[in-house]
Amino acid sequence: MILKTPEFLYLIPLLILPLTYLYFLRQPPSFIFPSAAFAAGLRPTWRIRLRHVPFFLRLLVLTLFIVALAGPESVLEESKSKAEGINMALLLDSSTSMAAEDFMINGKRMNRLEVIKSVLKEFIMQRPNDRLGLIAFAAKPYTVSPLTSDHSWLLSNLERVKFGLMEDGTAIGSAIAAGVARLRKAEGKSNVIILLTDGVNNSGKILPLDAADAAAALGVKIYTIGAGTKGLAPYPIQDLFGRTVYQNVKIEIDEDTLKKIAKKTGGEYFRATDTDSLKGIYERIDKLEKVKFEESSYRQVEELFDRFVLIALAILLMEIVLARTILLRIP
Amino acid sequence: MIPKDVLDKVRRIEIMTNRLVTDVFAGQYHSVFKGRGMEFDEVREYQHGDDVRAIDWNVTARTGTPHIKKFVEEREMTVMILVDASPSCQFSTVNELKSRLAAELAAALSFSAIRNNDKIGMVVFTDTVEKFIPPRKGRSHVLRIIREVLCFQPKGRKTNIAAALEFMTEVTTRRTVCFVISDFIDPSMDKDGRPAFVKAMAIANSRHDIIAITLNDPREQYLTPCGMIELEDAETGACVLVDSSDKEVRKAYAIAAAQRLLARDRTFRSMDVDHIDISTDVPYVDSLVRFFARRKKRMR
Repeated sequence: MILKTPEFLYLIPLLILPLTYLYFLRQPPSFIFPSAAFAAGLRPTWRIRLRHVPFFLRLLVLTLFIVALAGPESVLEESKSKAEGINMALLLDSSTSMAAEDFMINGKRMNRLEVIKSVLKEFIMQRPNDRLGLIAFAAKPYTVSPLTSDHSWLLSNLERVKFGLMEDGTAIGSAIAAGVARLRKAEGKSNVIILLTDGVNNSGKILPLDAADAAAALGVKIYTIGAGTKGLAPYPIQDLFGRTVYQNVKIEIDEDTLKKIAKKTGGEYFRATDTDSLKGIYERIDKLEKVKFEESSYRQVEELFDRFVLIALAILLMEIVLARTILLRIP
Repeated sequence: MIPKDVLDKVRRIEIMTNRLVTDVFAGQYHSVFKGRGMEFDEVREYQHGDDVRAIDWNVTARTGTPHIKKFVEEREMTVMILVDASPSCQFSTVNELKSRLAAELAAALSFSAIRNNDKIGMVVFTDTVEKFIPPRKGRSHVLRIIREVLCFQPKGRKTNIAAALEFMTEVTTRRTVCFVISDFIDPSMDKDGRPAFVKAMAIANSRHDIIAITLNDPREQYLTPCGMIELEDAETGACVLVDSSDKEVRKAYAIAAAQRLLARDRTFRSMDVDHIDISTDVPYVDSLVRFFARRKKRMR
């Protein structure tokens, strides 16, 4: 259970403390009697011991009303799977060029693939209502996970993505085609591909722009991300003695094609030069898609205020009945 | 200037008690208080215009002609009325407040007194003597007494009966008939554990003829079940919460009240003080008539 506006809870001490103070401070209304000594020697009964109960019940009622005012609600977990989100295919370049260590995480140099995996993990967790698929590609596309809303399964499969799963190369066109093929059968409000690559299309049978045309025809939007620093990137290779040494390699990204793909399908092209900008890009895409499909990212909650009000009213009724029957006080 | 509503009240009490005095008490007051002083003079033949009540039936039967008894008028008497105006008298759960009842009693006694050609005086007291009206005769004097007792605003918040009695003893020179109208709720005790007024009353009673008129209310005697009641002492302001719904509590309260009344009666009897019990829920006329009858019997 969570509260919509917990600020209202400040009312509880603000009201209850002064009320209690006034209640115990004030002289109760009384009958003038010739001599209180006439009744002074009587032993206290259970009614007299319980005489403050109605007041405390009143305070409880007040507290419950304030809690109800604060808007208690419980988030229904199952409503997430029912929610109709968008379909998204994440295309992940896993060619050996992704092993370049030009991105940092927490000040530590990591290869691009690891960085992208960690960024993707966050991205996946931020979109619990969407159906996501993951396709790794090199010379050929490889479907790591079809479109699914089971994100824990998706996350565990993301860990499986490694170098050398398939023949080395960068088949951007084939990857887009594979993504489009996955998406075209899916039902949903919107279909989106996020393509991340660090190279130039150098293998595959389909040209990237042809694949983009197909995507546009099927209403699939493609966001493209070019990953890699500008200029040279340190690339680990093993020297003759089996030691890992870094060699600076020139980065080559076919930005023109990526831009065109994005333009054709109504998406956008981004360039990620470090971890932060990569994160920023995914956040941006996250936001872009959220704004557009706001209704698909709703959170179904169950309002609980009525229960509080009902309980409060029941206690109030009980208090009124008590104070007017067995705990009656006059005047 | 006296407010009109007070005048109305005075007038109403006058009419009411006047009727009472002429019809109900008719002559009773006279014989009760004049008993000792009224001396039998002679028996003479009835003449036209004589009071038929004065006919001596024994002599009439023996002689065959109506005869009446003739008495020698006793010297005029002084009647003092001591009225308790303490806050505890501003209370009643039925009919009229005790203070109003006290005013009516004072009026009835005053009218009885002037009818008998007695002087009447009054002391209004709380914890001090608040007002003293010296004994005088006349209807207008009685009306003044009623007015004073009706709309008197006491300053004191407590009761001190002893002080009033002592004052009365000081200001009077002759023997008086003295009515003390009070609820006799005076929590102060002397060192023997008796009510504080006992000593003063005993002294006053040796010189005067003291008649204690106690004002009671049924709620002082027993509680009715009606939940918890917050009671505030009229004089001390102390509060006490009473659970009137509890059977045991009601019983204990009634027992305590009965013991209290019994102790009070015993106190009066031990001092040889006459005592009239007046309750707010019973018309006081009956109590007064009964008292007069009782006293008459004793006088004979």
